[in-house]
Amino acid sequence: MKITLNKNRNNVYKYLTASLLTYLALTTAIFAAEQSIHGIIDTRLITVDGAKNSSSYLLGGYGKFDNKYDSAATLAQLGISYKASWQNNFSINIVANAFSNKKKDNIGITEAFIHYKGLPNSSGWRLQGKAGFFYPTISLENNAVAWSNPNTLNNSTLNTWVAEELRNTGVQVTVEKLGKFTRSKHDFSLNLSLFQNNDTAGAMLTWHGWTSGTRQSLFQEKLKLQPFPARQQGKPLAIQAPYSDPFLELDNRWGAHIVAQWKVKNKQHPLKINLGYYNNNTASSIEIKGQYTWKTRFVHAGFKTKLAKKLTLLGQYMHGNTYMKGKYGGFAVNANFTSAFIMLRKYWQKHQIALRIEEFSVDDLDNTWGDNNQEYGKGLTLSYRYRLSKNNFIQSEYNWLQSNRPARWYVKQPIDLIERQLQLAFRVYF
Amino acid sequence: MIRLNLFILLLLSFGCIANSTSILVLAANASPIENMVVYLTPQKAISINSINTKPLIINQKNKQFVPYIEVIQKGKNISFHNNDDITHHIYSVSGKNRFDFKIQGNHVKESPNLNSVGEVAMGCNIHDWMSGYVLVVDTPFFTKTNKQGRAIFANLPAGKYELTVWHPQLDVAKNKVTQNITLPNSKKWQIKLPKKLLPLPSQESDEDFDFLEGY
Repeated sequence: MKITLNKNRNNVYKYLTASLLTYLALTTAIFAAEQSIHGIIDTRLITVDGAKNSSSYLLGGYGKFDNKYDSAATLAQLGISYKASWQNNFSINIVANAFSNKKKDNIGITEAFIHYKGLPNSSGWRLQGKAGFFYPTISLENNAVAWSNPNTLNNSTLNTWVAEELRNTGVQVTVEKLGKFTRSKHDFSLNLSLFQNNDTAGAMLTWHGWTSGTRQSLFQEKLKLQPFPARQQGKPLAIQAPYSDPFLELDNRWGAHIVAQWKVKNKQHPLKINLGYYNNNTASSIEIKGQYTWKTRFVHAGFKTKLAKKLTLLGQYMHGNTYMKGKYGGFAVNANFTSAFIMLRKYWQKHQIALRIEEFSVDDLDNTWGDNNQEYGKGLTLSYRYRLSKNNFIQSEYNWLQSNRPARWYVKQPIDLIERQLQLAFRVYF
Repeated sequence: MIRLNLFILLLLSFGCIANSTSILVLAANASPIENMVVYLTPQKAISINSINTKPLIINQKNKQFVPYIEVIQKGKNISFHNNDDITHHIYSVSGKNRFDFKIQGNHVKESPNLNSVGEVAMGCNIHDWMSGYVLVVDTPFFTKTNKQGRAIFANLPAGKYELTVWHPQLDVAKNKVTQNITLPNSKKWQIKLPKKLLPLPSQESDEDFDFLEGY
């Protein structure tokens, strides 16, 4: 068992080494690459108000924000995006991130991949490909440097989960049809990924529920689990490791993610819609070193449009199921999950106001003792951004989350809880 | 002195009549229309190869092709001037005049010579909304209409010509209308488009933030 685990890890390292060697070979090639470095420095003053002594989900508690019940100065994100691109349409992209909020500092790689972007042909068909460690195409919020969110400080619960547990290690092929070549307003694209190293996806979502923050799990990062009774000695989930390893391969099977996108180029009301299906396709009942395979499938949908000049509306929806089984079959953990948000954004001159409302739930479908994962909640985010200069922004934000989660009773916190957070950020983009 | 000036003025006026040809292009609603490509193809071979010796410059400015529409004589090339501080990947992928290259911020690059007549539809593979057109013509007599909707040609040799008005958003066969004219002729030439132009592409991103990546 141990050997298999190491082998899989070794494959990843081999892959990264191969990428690095390819990179070195290419840099010495006759056609020198064009290199660019962009990034974000996001420092904040925060104050969180929740249950007394509640700890952030990042520290293994049930607190829904990535900051604990406290006031603090944090480095919410230091993200660097390095890109080397060649005339032959290939590029290498490496994104590194560092985060520092109390007792939970980390630095590492969040993405590393080779990208090919072909030229469109005369009817507007274009092929793109990716290979490496990269985000699945889900978020409509996180489209800025180093997967940062330019509109709000905290991501929606939906995309906070994407950042925490979802990352593809594999290949992605995108076929696009650009309408302008046939003087059409419509662009279409279909994007298929085959991936590994995402076999535990769903564990954190089930065990701590939906959360909201800025954190992105790093390549090497392990995530601390909540202390629910089913994990105690002699109880059903006693073998589960205290930390979940989010980007781990356990069964050597490939998962798949497919996304279809439709864009309408309309000057007044441009529209973007995407629909996707994710299935990590794990084999059940596998456990290695306390890490179980979780079978996670979900559908997701998103849209983005302009209601008026400088007034945009975007929304996303996700619904799916995840389960893990013990060694001898039978559902140990089985849950349906749903999250949806809608965000309205108005911008003018140097100002921007964003309002996001969301709703989320986890339905616990198993009868495992000491592992109640039932959850229902709502959230509201109000954010104001001011541009000091091209690169510098000040942003203040209020986050409000109301949730019902019986599991909080395990740590003697109220089942019904309202958590609030106030943030003031200074963000530098370069 | 006054008499001399008057004389020059008269001479110039006659000169205009004799050596300058103005063609008025009207939209379907009869208002003058600017930035229409107008060219005259002599029906008999003439000895002038080129009178437009000025190189054609197309700028990339604020992630747009400026100007959006241009015309060039066959055999010449385009000089791309990237005024942005970011890289563009300019391409022409249809017709016979195909090329593509990356051009770094604040750099200049020349296209290969455009040796085939016809439309060159340009785009940028990084910024999909960028769009620009160049028409390659096999005649030295070409221009675009000015704000008053006039295409003005100087020193046209006498003879028969085919007059063509072209625009990528002119929604008729080959995006052009033609008419035969004979020069010199004191007649004021004018041509009216049969249809309203389709809307011009906005060349604007739907996004407003400067630091976006391809997520």
